[in-house]
Amino acid sequence: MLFHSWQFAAFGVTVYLVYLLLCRTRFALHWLLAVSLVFYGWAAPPVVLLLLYVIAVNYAAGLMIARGPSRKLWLAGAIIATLVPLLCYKYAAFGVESLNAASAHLGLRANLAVPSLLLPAGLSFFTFGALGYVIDCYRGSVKAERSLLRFATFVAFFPKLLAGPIERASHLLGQLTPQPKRPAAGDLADGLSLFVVGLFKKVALADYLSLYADRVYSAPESFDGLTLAVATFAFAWKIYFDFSGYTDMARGVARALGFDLALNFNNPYLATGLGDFWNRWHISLSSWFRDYLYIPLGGNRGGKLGTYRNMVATMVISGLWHGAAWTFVIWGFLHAIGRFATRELERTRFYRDRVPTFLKQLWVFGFVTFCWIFFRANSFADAALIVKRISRAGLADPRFPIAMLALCLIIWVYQFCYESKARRVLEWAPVKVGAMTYMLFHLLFFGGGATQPFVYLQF
Amino acid sequence: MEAHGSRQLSPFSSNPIRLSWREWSAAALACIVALYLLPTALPAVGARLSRPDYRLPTELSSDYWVFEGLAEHSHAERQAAVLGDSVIWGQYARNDDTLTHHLNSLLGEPVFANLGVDGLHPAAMAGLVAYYGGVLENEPVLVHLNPLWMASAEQDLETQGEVRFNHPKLVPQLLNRPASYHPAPAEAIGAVIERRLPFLSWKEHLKIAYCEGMAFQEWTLENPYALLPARRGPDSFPSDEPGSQPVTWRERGISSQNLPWVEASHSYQWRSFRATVELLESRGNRVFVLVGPFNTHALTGESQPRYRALLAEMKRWLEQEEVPYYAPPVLPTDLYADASHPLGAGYRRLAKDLSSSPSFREWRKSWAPDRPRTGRQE
Repeated sequence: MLFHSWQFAAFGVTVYLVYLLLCRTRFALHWLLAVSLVFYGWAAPPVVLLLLYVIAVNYAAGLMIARGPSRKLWLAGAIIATLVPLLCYKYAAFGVESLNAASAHLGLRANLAVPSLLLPAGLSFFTFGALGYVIDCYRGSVKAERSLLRFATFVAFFPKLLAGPIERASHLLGQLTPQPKRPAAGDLADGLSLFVVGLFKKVALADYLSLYADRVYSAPESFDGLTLAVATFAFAWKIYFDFSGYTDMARGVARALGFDLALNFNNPYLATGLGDFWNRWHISLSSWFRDYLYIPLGGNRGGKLGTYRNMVATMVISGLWHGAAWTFVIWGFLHAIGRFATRELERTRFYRDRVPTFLKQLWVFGFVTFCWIFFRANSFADAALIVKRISRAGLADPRFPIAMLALCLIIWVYQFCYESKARRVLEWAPVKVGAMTYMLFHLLFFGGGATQPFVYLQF
Repeated sequence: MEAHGSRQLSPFSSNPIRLSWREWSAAALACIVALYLLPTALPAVGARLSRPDYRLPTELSSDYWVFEGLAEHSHAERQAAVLGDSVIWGQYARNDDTLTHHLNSLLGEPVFANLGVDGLHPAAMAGLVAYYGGVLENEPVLVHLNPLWMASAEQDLETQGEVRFNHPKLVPQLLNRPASYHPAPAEAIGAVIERRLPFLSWKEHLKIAYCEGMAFQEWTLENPYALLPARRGPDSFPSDEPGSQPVTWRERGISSQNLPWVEASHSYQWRSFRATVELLESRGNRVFVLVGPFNTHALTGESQPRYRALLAEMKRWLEQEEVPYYAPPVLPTDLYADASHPLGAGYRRLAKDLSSSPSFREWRKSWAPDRPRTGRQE
């Protein structure tokens, strides 16, 4: 069920109204869990079994780890058992294809049958959420949850189920008390604010930009360098609006119910370095990788070489998390390179003190946009072709709609203002009301057409 | 990977658009005012509408905002409206060779307005009258019944499979839907809301009349450097020329057809037509029904008795309900362009027959003296 659909509008209103009646009773969590399962199984009910499996495995593992003996074994068992469905659904085809290709290269011709499993939406997200919990239990930073109902609601909580944010038990589980607080009127106002901003990002911006980006990327051989570069620029903004729009809506829904979900995006295209970018982009995932992969690998404790090795490993795995293809591996690897580069540059006084912030932001945006080529291209061959054509700088008219460009620039300027002294102007009530009125009007005036699913639902 | 964790950031860290209830009220109010004021900024129809024999351009057939404007104009400028599909519109005739034109000529004054809409089958007509025809209240209305819409189960929208048909937004969306119509829930709800909110009809009008039928976003892809559509609304669409070449059905190569015809008692379209008449009467409209004349020359011998049975059933209902009607005899064969559309000469003949028929004269007498003649002389 998509947030920007009529079904969700009806679902959301029903969930909210019943929740108002139940929130001070012992049935509040029952209700939240039930509606979360309905939400998840809406399009394909059998996938709920997968969700229940992940809940059961990690709930049991948490309790067993808390008991004491064989903690490491239980942790390892839980990690393997939780990752198996993700590996099967997401990586089996990629693995077999890669094996076939490698064997063909060696002249062995394995020709194994490629499995065609449809990845259930949200699997990567709730798998990581549950794994984070069980690792935290092992580390002792979170107490094992004894209530299956609470734990199941934590994993399955519908606003964040399909595309995050990837919540930590230490943050969300504590809010899921047996009788949660009644949502205040202010929570609903805040939730609506977040939801409308998210809806605007998705419907007015992301879906609009994708009209251009998708058309070019679906047949890159038909376009020259400038058009491909402009389409990559469009895609950079499209994916930001799409994913951060989803997150805003998810956080808005949760907020209306009285719960806080973690901030997942913080104006990432204003980052001044790649490290800064990952502190602003998909924050819940990058902090997950930092806490559960990068630091356990040694973090930055092993000297420069060890740090960079750990960064490459983390970024490549992060790339693979996004999609099972070599293009995602390259995307992750490029980001790792970018991180070295900006990390080293930031150590020089000249770069730190003399290079204007705007130039740093521009180059980071340019680099991140370049990397998106590998993220978006349908194949490695397409990505290579796009890079080649862009480097040749063909100058045919890209026919990029001026309205699209204007929207991107307005948002960019808005974000610049937000991170400057002009922020006070943006926080002035008439400006906020004006911006909201425009967004509502824009949605009513330009919305209502065919909508597209969120990009990150496929991960 | 030195990060400030996500939990140190407040929920509104990345943007300040966080409204209190008071601010929400202001935003909602401003939005509502804009929704109501903006549709008045652009007139639905311009100067061309005031020309004699204006008819809705076929490109604007689904532009119900313009239809409403046209109906409003007809209510103000003409004494009566003629509702129907492309037979009334005049598919094979110039705008000054249609039934409405010839009726006005015979009456010596511009009494009737041509409100024919291309592809307006009875189920769609019921929706058009219900949702966009309110401005015609208390006005005499001549409604055309084209039996062709009952020629087969498919045209009657009663086959179980999906059938593509004209004006899907006008047919019932939730209850009493045609069997052939299976809209997605969002589509159905969207159509219902569009009928109720004038702003949405206006938005659709802008799309059709200014953006070549495309959503504005798609239109900008085709016209990337234009800030506003170059087309200047409904007036820029011509509607004087015939929609198709005006030649006889035989010249067109149409042979006699064995049309199956549906039974009136099971017909969705006939039920919808009856509902239209009842709705108009409930609004104080004095209704007159013109049935056909269908081109029975184009029917095989096998098909004719079924058609006659259907016609008899329709007449029986009209008589039973005391709805004045006229079912003219079939026109000479060379006055038809296809199974249901007359050519210009056919309209002239039909207008003559109709205006001299006792039921029509009596119907006209019932309202003609009541209203001042405000229309212009043609």
